[in-house]
Amino acid sequence: MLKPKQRRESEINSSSMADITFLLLIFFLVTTTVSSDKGIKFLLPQKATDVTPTKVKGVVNIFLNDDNQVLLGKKGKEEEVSLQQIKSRLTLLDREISAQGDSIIVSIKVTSGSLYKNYIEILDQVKSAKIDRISLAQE
Amino acid sequence: MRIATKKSPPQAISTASMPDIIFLLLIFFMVSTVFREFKGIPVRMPSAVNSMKIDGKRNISYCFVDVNDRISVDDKLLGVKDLTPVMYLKRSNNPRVIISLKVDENCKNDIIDKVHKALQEADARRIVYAAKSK
Repeated sequence: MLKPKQRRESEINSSSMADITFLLLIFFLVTTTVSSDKGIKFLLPQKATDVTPTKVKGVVNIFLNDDNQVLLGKKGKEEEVSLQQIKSRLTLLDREISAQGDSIIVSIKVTSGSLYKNYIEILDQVKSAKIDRISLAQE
Repeated sequence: MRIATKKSPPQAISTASMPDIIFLLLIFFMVSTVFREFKGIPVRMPSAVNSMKIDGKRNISYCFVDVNDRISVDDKLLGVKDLTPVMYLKRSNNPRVIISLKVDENCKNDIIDKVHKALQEADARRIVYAAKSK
């Protein structure tokens, strides 16, 4: 009687799989950069087609000039303040304006020669004062 | 008569599940990795208290501006006039694009104003002023 030939089982050796995966893992570990995207979010207004001056109550102006001095206050009542005082001044004005039933709008006007870091400082202080309605005046 | 000492069983930790664990880690890193495409130009970023982490790394596009008013987008130096078409293209490819402005802290606001206008023109209005946290 003929014995049926027993087939030898063929198997791919998978012992090196772990090594390959390790290698890939190390590659991805090294190339991954930890997200460091930090910043102040801002939504630019839509492109103005025709600007009509509107009378809005509760506007507080902040001016920054070429010498990096700051004027802050309601229209016509602006006073010079330091960059660090902006937050406390705005909080006071916010309370004052809300007491009158309006909501505060901060209008930031910067001259073209002023420094970017001071603009960011102003924006930062306004955000610290928990004011979301910001208007950016352009020349 | 000698007392037979008890033989302790072999104490080897099974490493059979190691490849699985490595695979899991590998897949995690493969999925979460976003390759940095562009180098940009060196800038000194300002710092701010309200500097927040920006989510959606895949939507972020960088615009570098250095002290000499050079503008770099996708490692190409551009003039302000070229910024609008480039940004318009980005905006139409991905409507959720966020432009991260990496501007040197000693820049003048003149250039910022021009960049703002170019971005408004391109309708890429979601921006982030990149800043270190204080």
